[in-house]
Order: sequence, then structure tokens, then C-alpha cells
Amino acid sequence: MNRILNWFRLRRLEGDLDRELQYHIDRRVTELIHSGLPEPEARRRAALELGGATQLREEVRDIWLSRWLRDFMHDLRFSARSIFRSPSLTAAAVLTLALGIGATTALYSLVDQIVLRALPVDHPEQLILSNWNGEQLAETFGGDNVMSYPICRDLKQQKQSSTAYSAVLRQRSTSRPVENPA
Amino acid sequence: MPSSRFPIPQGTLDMLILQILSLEPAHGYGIAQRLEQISKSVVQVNQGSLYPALHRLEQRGWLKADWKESETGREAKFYSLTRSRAQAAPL
Repeated sequence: MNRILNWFRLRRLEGDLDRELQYHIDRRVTELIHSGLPEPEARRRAALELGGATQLREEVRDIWLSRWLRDFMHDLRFSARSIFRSPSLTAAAVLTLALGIGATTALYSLVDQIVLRALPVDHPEQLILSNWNGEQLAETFGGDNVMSYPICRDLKQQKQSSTAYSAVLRQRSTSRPVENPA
Repeated sequence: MPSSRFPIPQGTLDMLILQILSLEPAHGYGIAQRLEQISKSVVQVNQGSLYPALHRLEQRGWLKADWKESETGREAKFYSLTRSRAQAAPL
């Protein structure tokens, strides 16, 4: 979390590090000059002791932002710049993607509806859902749609149209169509 | 420059820094001088690894840093132990 915050204050961190290192080098150079070295030699020695400035900076930056995050941010910025540099190419790419995704989605939803979701009966639109509202099963978990075998058998023997079917059932239970068979 | 001193073992630098800062806040250069005194005959502290270590400890929340006027009158970044670290001392 802290590291993500660091991304937004990177400029300040860089400035601070520069000042910090400059302070270190200046102090060291002064000290070396006091001990009798000529200034160019003192500067060279101080820089050498600290190791390569670039390498040191790089190492500290890796602490602020882990390497992958830094690379990722740079990649992100680079892609944003490329996008704005060539809007026509971007538009073409976006259009291609949109068409491709749209076509694929359309095809898949069609297949899904026609092949995968279709019920394995002759007239799915005529299906009805029978619901049992008997007292003995009221309010219990899973009480819906539970019927005893004799009743199921009786229902099966009703070789009539769905309207007749519901008329028979009206005595002790209600039945309602799943969908309007209009 | 070849040196007969040991390269510093992993983690020792952090401990030395915390040890130094448990006495009083100091800036990077001051810490480097102290390290030089402490470790002169024993281990070789690469000055270049000091600042990454300081920033790592700061990032981890063990150290905090403020810009204050140093003994030369110039502003320097002073490191000090955070409260939680100070309570954990002595190391």
C-alpha cells in the first residue's frame, strides 16, 4: 500500500534522495580536502566510496517501488502515450476488438439458447409447474413441489390436455403455468 | 581497493544502523562516520549499501526521517527510530 503511495510522490522522493546524497558527498569532499587531498581527487574518492550514483539510485528506487510495479507503471504510461500518438490505429484496433467480441458473444448466446438450454420435451412452451400446497408439508424446507408417489402416479395417468390436468388438481393443490403459453 | 576485512554479513548493517540510531538521531553521513569507527577493524561496510539500507528501514516503518539543520548549518535528512522500534530497544 505504502509502495503504491510512493508512486505518486516519486518526484519528491527523488529530490530528497538527490539532496541527501549531495549532502553526503559534499561533507566527505570537505573532509578529504581537510586531510590534504586536492579537490578533484577528493571528489573522485567521495564518489567512488559511495559506489556508482546511478546504481545506488536504482537500488533505492527498487525499495520505494518493487521492480515489477515500477516496470508495470512504465509500461502503462508507454502504452497510454502510444495510444494517443496514433489515434487512427487505436480506433482500428478498438473497432476490430469490438466487432470480434460482439460476433463471438452473439454466436455463443445463440448456441446457448438453441442447443444447450432447450428442454428435452416436444413442446417446452406447454410445460406447467405443479405446486403442492397441502397442510402437512406447509412451511417446511423443501416443502415446495414435493408430492407423494401415489399422487405422482395419479398425475401420470391423466392423459389429457393441460387444461384438464389443472382442473383435476384443483381439489387439493393448485397448479400454475411456468410461462404464459400465449 | 582490496581489503583484509570481512564483507558484512547479511542483516548486520541493519542492526548496526539501528544500534547507532538508538543513541540519537543522525543523518546519513553521520551514520557512515559512526559505522566507519565501529567497524574499522572488523567488517567492511560499503558506503553505497548504507543508503539503500536506510531507505529500506524507513519503508518498513522502523525509521522515520526529517529534514533538519545539521552541524554545518545545511539541511540534512536526519533519521531516527520510530516509537515502536525505540521501545523494542535495546537490541
